[in-house]
Amino acid sequence: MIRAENISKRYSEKGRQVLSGVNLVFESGEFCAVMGESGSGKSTLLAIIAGILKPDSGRILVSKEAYNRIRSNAGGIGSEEADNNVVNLTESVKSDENQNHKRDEIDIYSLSDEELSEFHREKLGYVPQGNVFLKNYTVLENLVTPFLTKDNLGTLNDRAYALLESLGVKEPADRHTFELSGGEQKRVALARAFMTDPEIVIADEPTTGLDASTGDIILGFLKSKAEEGKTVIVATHDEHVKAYATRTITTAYH
Amino acid sequence: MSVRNLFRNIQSHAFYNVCLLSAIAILSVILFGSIVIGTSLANGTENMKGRLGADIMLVPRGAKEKAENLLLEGQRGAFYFESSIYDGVAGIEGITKITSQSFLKSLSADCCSSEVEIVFFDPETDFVVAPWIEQEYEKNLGGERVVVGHNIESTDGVIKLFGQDYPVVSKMAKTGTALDSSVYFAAEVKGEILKAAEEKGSFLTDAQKRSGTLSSIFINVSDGYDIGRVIEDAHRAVGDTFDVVYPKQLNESLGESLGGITGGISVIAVSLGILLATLMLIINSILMNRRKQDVALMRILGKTKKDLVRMLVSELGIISLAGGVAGCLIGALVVLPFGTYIGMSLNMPYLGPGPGATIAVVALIIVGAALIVFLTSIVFILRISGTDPYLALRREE
Repeated sequence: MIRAENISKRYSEKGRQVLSGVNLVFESGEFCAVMGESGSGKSTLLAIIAGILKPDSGRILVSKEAYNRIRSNAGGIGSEEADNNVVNLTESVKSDENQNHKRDEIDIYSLSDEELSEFHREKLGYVPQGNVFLKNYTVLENLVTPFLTKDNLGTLNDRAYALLESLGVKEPADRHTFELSGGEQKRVALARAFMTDPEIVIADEPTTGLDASTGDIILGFLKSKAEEGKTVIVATHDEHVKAYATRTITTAYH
Repeated sequence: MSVRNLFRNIQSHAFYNVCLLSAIAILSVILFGSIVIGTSLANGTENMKGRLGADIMLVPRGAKEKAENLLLEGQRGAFYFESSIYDGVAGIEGITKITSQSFLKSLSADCCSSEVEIVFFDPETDFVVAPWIEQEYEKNLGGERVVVGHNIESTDGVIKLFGQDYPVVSKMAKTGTALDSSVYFAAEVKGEILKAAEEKGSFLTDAQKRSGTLSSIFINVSDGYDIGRVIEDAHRAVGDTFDVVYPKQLNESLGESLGGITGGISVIAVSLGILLATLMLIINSILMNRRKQDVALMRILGKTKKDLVRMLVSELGIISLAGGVAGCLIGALVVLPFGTYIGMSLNMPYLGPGPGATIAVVALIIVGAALIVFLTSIVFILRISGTDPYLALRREE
C-alpha cells in the first residue's frame, strides 16, 4: 500500500498550481489508471508518488512493515543505524491527527538519500515517459548493470531474459537500445522496472504512441503483475487502459 | 561501477571527453615545458655560478665576447695570447690564486660520436677545474692522464683520442653546456697532443700549433683587495694585451636574465593555464549537462547521490590521468631532446633535471591536472546529482 497525503505542487513560485491537496491511497493488487488532459498533473503526481520529485507539501507514505521487510531483505545499511532512522520517522508521525493509522507508515521524502535509493532499488519500479536508457549498453546490460553486485550476475541475467521473453523482446544481449523500435524500447523499460520484483510499479504513459497489439502486451503484463499482488499505477491518455485497470482516477486542469 | 563501465560511459560522450582530454593534455604540455625549462635554466645558472670561481679572467684583447660565451655556454673559442703575460701578472700584489688554460677548437675524436673540446690546464695551480670533479679515479693527473667532461664515456678507465689511449683520472660534474664534452690535459703534454691530432688529420692553425700560448688566465684576488687596482697593475706590467671578464658580474647578469626568462615563462604558463581551466569549465558544464539524464536514470534505479558523484569523479579522474600522461609524454618529446638548443637560443646555461626529478614533475602535473578538472567540474556534478530525477528527465525530454 502507498498513500499520497495532501500533496501540492507548483514548479515555480509564480507558476500554476499543478496539484493541490491531493489525497490518494493505492492498495496492493490494484491496477490504477490516472487519466486526464495534458497538463492536468498526471505525470507530476506519479513522479511525486515515485519519490523522484519533491512535493511542495504533503507526504508519500508506505507501510513501515513493507519498508522494514525490504530493508531486512536488502541488508544494505547497518541495522543499528536503520533502526534509529525508523524510530525517528515513526516519532515524527506521532503528532499527526490520525496517529493510530499513521504510526505504521513512513514518509519516503523523510528518508535519507541511502534509504530512498534503497527504496527505489528494492520496492519501487518506475517507467519514465520517454525511453531513457544507458547509452552504449546492450538491452541486457541496461537491465542488469544498475542492479549488479558482486555475486548476483547470474540471477539478474536469468531474470532479465525471463522478463524480456514474457514481453516479446528478442536477442537482448546482442542489440543496443537505439536499435529497437519504440514499442520494444517501452517494453525494455518496463522489464527494467520489474528487475528487482518491486511491490509498486509506476508507469508514465506506457502505451502512448504504440500500436494496439504492443499496447495490449504491455497492459496485459501490468495486469498480470497487479494480479500477483503488486501495486500498479499508470498515467495515460489511452482510453484502452480502462479495460485493464481496476480503478480509474481522473485529474483535471486548473 | 566497474572500470569497464566507466570507460563505456566515457565513450558514450566521446566528443566532449576528447575535448576535455585534449585541454588537459595541452595544459600538461605547457606545465611540463615551463617547469622543466625553468628548472633547467635555474639549475644551469646555479651550477654556472658555482663554477665561475675566479674573480677575474684575462683573455686576449678582442676575445671578451667569446670568453663570455665560454663561461655561459661552455663554447670554446680559439683565442690565444703569449704565455709571458701569465709570467708578467703572476707576481702582482693582491693575487692569491692564478692559473691558466689553453683551449683547442672542437676536434673529432675516436672516443666520441660528437666533437670534443680539448683543454690544457695546469694541475699544479688549478683552482677552476678541480672543484667540479665529480668522480675521482685511483690515478694521479699528469703526463698523458686526463680529466673528462660528464658526457665523455671511458672504456675500462681509458679514452681513445687521435689513435692513442689516455687513462682517465676523474670525471667532471654535469654542467649542461659544451664543457660536458671536454677533455682536460695537463699543459705539459700540449705539444704531444697537438702532434697526435695533426698526424690524425686534424687541421690546426698556426696560433694553435705554436708553443708558449695561452687562452685565458684565471685570477682570485685576496679579500678586501681592490680588483681594479690589480687590473691596473696588470696593464702596467704587460701592456694593453688583454681584456678582462668578470665572472661574478656575469653571474649577476645571468641571474637577471634567468629572472626575466622564468618570469616570462611563468606569465605565459599561468595565462594559458587560466584560459585552459576556463575551457575545461565550459566543457565540464556541457558534459555534465549531457550526463544529467544518465544520472537521473541511475537515481531512479536506486543509485545514491554518493554513488553517482563517485562515478562521475572517477570518469573525470580517468580522463585527467590519460590527458596528464599524454601531455607529459608530448612535453618530454618536445622539451627533453632539445635542452641544449633551448639553452643556446636563450644564451643561458641549461642543465636538465635527472630522471627522479622528471618523474616528480610528471607526478606533480598529473595530480595538478586532476585537481583542476575536479575544481572545474564539482559544482556541476553536485548540481546534477542533487536535481530531482523527474525534473532532469523532463528537461531532457
